[in-house]
Amino acid sequence: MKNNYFNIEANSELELNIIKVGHGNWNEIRSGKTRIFYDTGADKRWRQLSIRDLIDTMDIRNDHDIHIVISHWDVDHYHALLEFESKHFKRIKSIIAPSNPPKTNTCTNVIQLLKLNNVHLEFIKPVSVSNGPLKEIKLGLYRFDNIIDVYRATNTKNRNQGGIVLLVKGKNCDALLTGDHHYSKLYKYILNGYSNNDKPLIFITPHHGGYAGKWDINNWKQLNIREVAISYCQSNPYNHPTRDNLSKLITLNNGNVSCTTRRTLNYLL
Amino acid sequence: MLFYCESYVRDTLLILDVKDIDELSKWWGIMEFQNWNSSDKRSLIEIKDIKCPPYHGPREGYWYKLNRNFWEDFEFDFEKYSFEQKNKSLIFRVSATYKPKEECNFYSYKVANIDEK
Repeated sequence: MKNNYFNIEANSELELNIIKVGHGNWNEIRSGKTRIFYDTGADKRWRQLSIRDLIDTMDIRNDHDIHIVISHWDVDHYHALLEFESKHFKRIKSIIAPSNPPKTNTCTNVIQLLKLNNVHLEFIKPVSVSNGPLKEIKLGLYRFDNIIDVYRATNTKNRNQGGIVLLVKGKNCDALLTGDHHYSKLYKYILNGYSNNDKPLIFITPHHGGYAGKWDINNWKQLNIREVAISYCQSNPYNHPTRDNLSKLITLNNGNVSCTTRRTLNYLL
Repeated sequence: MLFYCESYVRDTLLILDVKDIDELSKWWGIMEFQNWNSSDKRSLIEIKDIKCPPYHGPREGYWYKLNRNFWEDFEFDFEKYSFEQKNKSLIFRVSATYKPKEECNFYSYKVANIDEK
């Protein structure tokens, strides 16, 4: 039974790849020829040849169906799109991103590039969530099926917290792809009361392990977390991950925190 | 001229963008920089060593009005990004370094968020 947006066979084994992109973000959920890119970012410092190598490494073939979710409009989350070629754009079956992209030249360049290549970019508007304090930025379900739940933030001026989060439901393991959203909101609106029949969760940390709000580790300790992964580059000017976050993440997962500083991380869900 | 804060790390790095390439061209002219390349679409401005007081620095996602005087104390490097290169940055157009020892109150340049319009 497929019965999902991406036409993936239910109960099939999904691959999760956290791509080594320097200090940026590009995650992939893959089921055979169906590939979902959560961000297509790369380190802002990377130059054309590194980005080209990265895209080559992704090995996008003529029979692949690519779906892209841009978590939010930070350059390091969509940088590599600027070097996509016509043959890559042709494989894009869908691309969604938060509405209200910044009116900047770099952002406009990407949007125009998609348009020029006849790729329809669907802007996802903020959701409304009735529970919780009125002024709080919340996360609500935008779309769900038997493979991926797509969460979108409520209306906010905050670029990092106004994005899209994915909860991927694998056969043996789930994964939370978080963009730059805050820990407290991820917990409160997605993971609190989250029941996955005791399947463990792979948690990709928000904001490259950098500041993503204050958070209470005791809530997170209740969760069945199998892996914690950070997408970052060791020599980044932002000093990510923060010492506080790293120490909490290490505690959370018995010292086991993986990162993309040396290699792409691969998991089976 | 309006500039957008793409990214900021205190005392280390500020990355600015502009609304469109025409705006950047205007700024290039105001600054009397040479060698404007109209086919180059890149617009990010890398600013190193900018020092701002706590809570008065630029904020990511916000717009700032920076006139000609603001740029008096910056040293510009065109070699790093601006000219034709074999392995160029896809996003950065020019690099600059903030030279004064005094802190810069960036907050005072903040304008209403044009992205909401």
